[in-house]
Amino acid sequence: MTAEKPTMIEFKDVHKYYGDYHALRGITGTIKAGEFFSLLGPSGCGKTTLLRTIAGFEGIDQGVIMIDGKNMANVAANVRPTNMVFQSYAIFPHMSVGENVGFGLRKEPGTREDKAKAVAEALEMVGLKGYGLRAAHALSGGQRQRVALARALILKPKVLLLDEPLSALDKKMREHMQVELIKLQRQVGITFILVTHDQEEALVMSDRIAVMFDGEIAQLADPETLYRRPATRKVADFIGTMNFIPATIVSEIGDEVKPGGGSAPRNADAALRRPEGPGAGNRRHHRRGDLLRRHDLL
Amino acid sequence: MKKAPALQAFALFYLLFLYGPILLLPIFAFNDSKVVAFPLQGLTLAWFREMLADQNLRQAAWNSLIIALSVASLSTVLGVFAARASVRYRFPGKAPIMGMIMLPLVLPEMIVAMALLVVLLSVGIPLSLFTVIAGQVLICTPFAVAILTSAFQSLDRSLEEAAMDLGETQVSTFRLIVLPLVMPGIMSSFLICFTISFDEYIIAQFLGSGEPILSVYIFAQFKFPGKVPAMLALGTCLVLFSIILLGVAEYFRRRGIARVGGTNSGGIL
Ligand SMILES: Nc1ncnc2c1ncn2[C@@H]1O[C@H](COP(=O)(O)OP(=O)(O)OP(=O)(O)O)[C@@H](O)[C@H]1O
Ligand SMILES: [Mg+2]
Repeated sequence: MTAEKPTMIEFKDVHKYYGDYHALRGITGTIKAGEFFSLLGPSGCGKTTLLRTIAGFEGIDQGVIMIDGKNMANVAANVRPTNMVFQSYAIFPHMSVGENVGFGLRKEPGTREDKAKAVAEALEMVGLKGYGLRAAHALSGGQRQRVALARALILKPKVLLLDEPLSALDKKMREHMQVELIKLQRQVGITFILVTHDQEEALVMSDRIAVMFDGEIAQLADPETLYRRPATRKVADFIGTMNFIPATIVSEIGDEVKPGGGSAPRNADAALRRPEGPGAGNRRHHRRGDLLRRHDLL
Repeated sequence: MKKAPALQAFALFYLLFLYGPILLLPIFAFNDSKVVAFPLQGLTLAWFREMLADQNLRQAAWNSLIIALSVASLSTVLGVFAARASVRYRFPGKAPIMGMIMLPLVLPEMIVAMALLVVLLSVGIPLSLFTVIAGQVLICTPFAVAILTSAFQSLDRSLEEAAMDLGETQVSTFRLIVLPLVMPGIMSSFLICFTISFDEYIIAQFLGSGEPILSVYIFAQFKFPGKVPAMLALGTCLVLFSIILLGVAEYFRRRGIARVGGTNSGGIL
């Protein structure tokens, strides 16, 4: 499904150090055009750092980041074809809603009327029609988030970066905005990269997900694969509630794995799916390792 | 809450002690007597007329105004640079550098004035209004840095990143985002430096060239009892001037805060 889409962002062995701290440890992967992509991982694993290297707020110490076929090594943040929705929304408090949304148009060519029209359209797109003259500081959390979205989308970036945009909202608002975001992404067709540490959110919203631990991508796959065939025990553990059953593999034909051994519960299904290993060379490890059984799948 | 009569009396006495003498200024400024003492004699504007006719006084007021405006501007500009650097950037030797900038805050002014005088004389720089300005900038900058540091600290860094992200350069981001948002801090800093400079005595006395400066001039006039009522008239004008200045500044500060929807924390009033 996503296979035929062209590549929008490509990481090749990206490393980033904060002083002595190795924050990104060889990130490699691609994000496709028009994709809803999520960076998922526990706190401190480097999601924000990776997002900020795409935006150009952080330089990288090694490796290459390509956006739309261009190397971003010497491209400053203000000329990259990306726009960002900040976790704090970063709404300019001394400006009206309309001035906030139209901020990016300041240096663009076009008449005042054209720009006013673009602002009105952007506000309508995020469901804030007629809010242009309101003071930005007098908005609710959800409204601020929409303003931040409109402001970032008005320049029609190739990539929209979202750093935990929903984490400051209450549960109901969050679920509402998840749907809104998906709809919006379908509508504008821009590549969305969402940072989140909420696995459910990632699984619900994304076309593909990169699961990160300690500055590395542990698995990059679509939600279905991630859920059913986590690459490692750590990924499986992070993705959902599950039981780990120690077992020994007695036979293995294709995807069919036959577990045996004293420690497996007697009433467990005879055949379990073997988790997709990273490669043939690692099979040994999986043979001896734990088999995963997902609570709700069996 | 339980009433504590002793504490209430103390507070009352304290306020009286603080502000009572200031109330005496206008009373005696309008009193028709060369002697500053009760009982009051009658109403007169003679002292205000004498004050306005005093050529030297006018020159001193003018000089003081120039000094105070220059010192407030320079200190605030330097304060913006120092505060911005200390809040935003990490650089080698930051702690000692910031410490040195703030040191005059706790250094006795006498020492600063004497040291500067010795240096200026030995280097051969003639004393003038400029040397007074330079000395007072040294004293005022720490106040500006302290006020502005808190202004810059309350600024969310992602606001600047958002502006850059939307295509602005470092310079235009500073102008469009940072400057408007720290403006209340800049105004406070300017006002406080202006006030400190305006009534500063020691440096004005040590580093002045003998050109009249208000604080020095007023003090000198007090040696002549006949001049005192005119000085009280001048004092009355200065009190009025301060109240107006504070009122205007506070109005703009509150308007600035209301515009960004912030909470009113601190400020001068
Ligand atoms: N400016 C910085 N200087 C030094 N270390 C930093 C800096 N920014 C981040 N780090 C460190 O890099 C690591 C990754 O940080 P990052 O902000 O990318 O994590 P994250 O995955 O976004 O976490 P969270 O979910 O908590 O936001 C953390 O250990 C953090 O302490
Ligand atoms: Mg983060």
